[in-house]
This record gives sequence, structure tokens and C-alpha cells, in this order.
Amino acid sequence: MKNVIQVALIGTGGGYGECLVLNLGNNNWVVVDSCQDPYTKKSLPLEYLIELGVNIANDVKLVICTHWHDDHILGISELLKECKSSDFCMASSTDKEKFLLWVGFDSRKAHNDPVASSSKELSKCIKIIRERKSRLINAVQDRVIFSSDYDGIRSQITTLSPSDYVLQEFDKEISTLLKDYTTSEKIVYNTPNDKCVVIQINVNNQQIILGSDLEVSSDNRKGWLCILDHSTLVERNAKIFKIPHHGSENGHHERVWSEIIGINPIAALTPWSRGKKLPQIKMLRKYLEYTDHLYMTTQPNNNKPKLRDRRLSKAIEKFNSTVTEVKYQRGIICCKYDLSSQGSDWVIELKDGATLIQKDEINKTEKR
Amino acid sequence: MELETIIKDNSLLDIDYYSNHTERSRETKILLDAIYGKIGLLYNDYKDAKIEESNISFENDRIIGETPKFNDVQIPRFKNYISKSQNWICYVLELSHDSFFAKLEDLNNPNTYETAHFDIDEVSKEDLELLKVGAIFYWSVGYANQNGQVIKQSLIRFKRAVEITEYEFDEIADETKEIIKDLNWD
Repeated sequence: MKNVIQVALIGTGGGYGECLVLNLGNNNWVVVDSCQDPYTKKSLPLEYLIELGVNIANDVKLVICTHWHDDHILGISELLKECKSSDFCMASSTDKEKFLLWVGFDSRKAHNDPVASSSKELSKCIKIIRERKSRLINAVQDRVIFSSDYDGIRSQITTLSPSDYVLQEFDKEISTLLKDYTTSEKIVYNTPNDKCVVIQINVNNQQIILGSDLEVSSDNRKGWLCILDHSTLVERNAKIFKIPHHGSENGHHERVWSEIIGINPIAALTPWSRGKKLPQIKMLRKYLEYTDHLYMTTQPNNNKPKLRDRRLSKAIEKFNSTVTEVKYQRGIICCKYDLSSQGSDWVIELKDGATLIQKDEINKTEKR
Repeated sequence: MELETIIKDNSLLDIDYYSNHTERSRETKILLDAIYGKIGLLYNDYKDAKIEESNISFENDRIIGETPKFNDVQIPRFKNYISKSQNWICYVLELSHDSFFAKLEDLNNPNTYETAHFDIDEVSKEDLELLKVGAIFYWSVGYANQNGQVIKQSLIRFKRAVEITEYEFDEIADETKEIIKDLNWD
């Protein structure tokens, strides 16, 4: 139905990642980030599009990479390859050649690693875009990266971050990193969360904010304060908010809720359970002060040792009893809105492990 | 105590394939490698093993046809080998004064990952300088056989960089210049 718009948050808990599949009407589909099923190694947004019967080659118009943490980028090249009509959007440093050089070095270093890496994915995406002669769109604060106005449906996507300042700092960071390409460690960047792309979507009178993993900084030249204080295109009445950074305290600022997000919005997040578990209960309580419609893609896990051969399990337990498996589960929060129906409201569908968070449940969990 | 091992019902070998015992043909070596190599033996341990005639042939160093069976062949004494192990490639996520926390990618079954805490005491002296957030190390836990003695062991070894050569550096730099020309970067 071409007048039904859709925002689907696919999350996996555990640090296996999250991504969003958007239908902006008029067969305009957009995908934000990618993550993989660790068993099949398939891109989850690609699998979802196939499940929905979308004409992937023609109707996906844009793939956006908000930042290159593994949990947001794995499988993105496989997805981009299938989305043959799609452009690609990501943030890069001010000096594009230096950025590509860094991607080249990092993916060469990672070449012999038996596991996937974010720079290998980026490198493949750049190759695909180059071969297809599609557009590689640079994400920067207050840039409209997609717009469509047809048959009564006006849709627009605006990137609200990163700022010019952040990209210039990234440029300096890459200069330093390029000197370190001979070291033995995985190259450690100042967190890519600084350079996250926060996305605002407008379809007719509906507004959606996707917070990626952007955190709050005391410096208002970056992070959420930069959007609040300096963005000229951010609107102030979002109906749907993808809560940033797995609901962490670092990603939370009261001004975001009071100045950008509308009253009683639909709020969704993907938990994190590698090491420190997110979101903490106090943050869930805080979010429930702003909305009655708080959703999580999966429930947090109690992680246990991985099932394997008994002799090996005993040997592992003997040497290190702290080894625990980070379980994989998928959940989808799908929000739909019918533009053709007057007085319509968003309808939420929950699939697999996705759940509505209620105050009673939080109180019960805490007592346990 | 007898320290020889008998392998039964495996793809192996009984009498000379070639009449010349002193010269091993290339094909013979390939065949021996394909069989003994899989169970972790070194060439010196099996270079004198005998083999029987079979219907196998070779094409571009590949074995064509079914490798011959054998019965109760005694093979040379093992030296050291791993009989069963779990292997991971690990990434240091957090570091404190006496321990570190790592993400473990299972190399035996590369699906879900694991996490674990390690004591710094478990890191060998030569590897300590490599221990930093973001460092990569290999961890192996399992059972080894050293001249017949079964040993349960855990080994941590930090990854050392293979330097990017000057040639690779230039190659990447040249490739970058070509990419920039063609890319429709908006």
C-alpha cells in the first residue's frame, strides 16, 4: 500500500547490532545501518526486505551508514550490492583522500583476520558505489540527503550530525592513525560515536528522529548539544524516537526530549549485553516519564557458557570460569502510519523478541 | 611403555607404491601429507611410511580418486600434537591494573561470540608490552599429547603485526588516487 509509511527497528540485543528499514511511501525504501545473523552471516535488513517482498533492486533508494561500529555495519556491503538503485550515505573526514587511505590501510590490516571488520565492509561499499557510479553522499549537519514529492506524499531525510567541527577533528585523528598502521592492535579510534549520523525523517506532517549512537558531550560543537544549539533544520515535534546508544546515560539529555521530541512519542531502543548491560533500569524509568510507548527490540539476556563438547567445556571452566556466551535473538518493532486515512495514528507491530516496556514490569524485575 | 599409536580404518598405506624406497616421488609426498598432515604429524614422522598400490592419480598436485584404505598399520611415534582444542581470536575491550576483559570470536564454530575476564598473570612476559585496549590475541584451550602424556592446557598468544610493506603502502596510495577520480562523491 503506497500510502502506508513504515519505520521498522530491527535489533538483536547482545551487541549483534541494530538497523532500521524505512518505507517513505511511493515505493521509496531506505535502510539505515546493517547487522548480521551470527549463524547465517546474512544481513538482517536484507532478509527483512526479502520477507516483505520489496523490489530490492529498484525500490531501495538509499542506504545510510551512521557510523562504523561492527554492530551497525556488518552485512552492509551485501545489502548495498543487492540494492542496485541505491545511493550510499556516510560521514567521512574533511579530507576525503586521507579518509580513503585510512580505510585502505585498515582493511588491508584486517585482510587476514578470520572475522569480519568494519573497515572491510566500508571498503567493499566504496568499491560497489564506484563500480555502479552511484552517489556517495557525505553526511554532515543540516544536510538534506533525500527528498521526494509525488502524489501527495512529501518525504525528506535530513542528517543532523556530525558537525563540521567533528569532521575536522576526525581529519586530524586520521593523520595520527595513519602513522600507526604498523601496530599489532586493532586500530583504536576515538569512538566513532562522535561522528554518528543522526537522522531526521519527515513524511507529510510526521516526523521521526533516529538517534544512532550519538552521545552527549559538554562541548556543544559536538554530540547532542550541537544539534540542540546549532542545527537550523531540526524540527521540534518528533512522533517516533529511536533512543540513542542502547538507552545509556551517555546518550541521554533532557533537552532532547523537551525540545525535539513530541509529547508521548513512540520510543524504541535496542539493548546491549556485552559487559555492561544497557539500558539500566533507572534509564527505563526515566524514559517512561516521557512516554507510555516505550519498546525494546529484545529482552536482556542472562548469559551462560556456550554449549560445546563436554571435555572442552570442562577444560575451559577449569582455566577460566568467566567465559560466557552472548546470546543472539532478533526483535522487530514496526511502526506503520496510513497517510490516506484522516485521524490516523501510528500502529505498532512487535515481532520475535520485541516487547513493550511497562512500569509494572520494571518494578517486578528490580525486586527479583 | 610402548609409545606408538595405531590408526585403524583410515586412509593409509601398507606397501611401497614405488619400487624405489630411497627416493620419494612428489606424488607420494603429496599423498602422505594429505593423510598424516591432517592429524598434525610432522613430515619427519611419516616420511618413511609405506604405501600400497591404489587407483589414485594426480592432477596439478591434486589427488584424484579414492585414497586407499589400510588395516592396523603402525605408524611412527608421535612427537607432540593437540588432540582436541577450542580456539578463539580475542579483542581486548577493557584493561585494569591486574585484569582485562575481552570479546572472544569462536574459531571452531564462528557464530555467537563470548566474553571473558583474564588475569594479567596469564599473559607471558614477552606479550605484556602488546597488552592494550584493542589488542588482538589468540586463546586456545584443550588437550595436548606430548610423547604420549596427555596434558590439559591454556595458551594465550598476542598477535604481532605484519608490517605493511612499502610496496603495499604505495599500492594502497595509488589505488586511493584512482578511486577518488572515479567516485561520484557528493
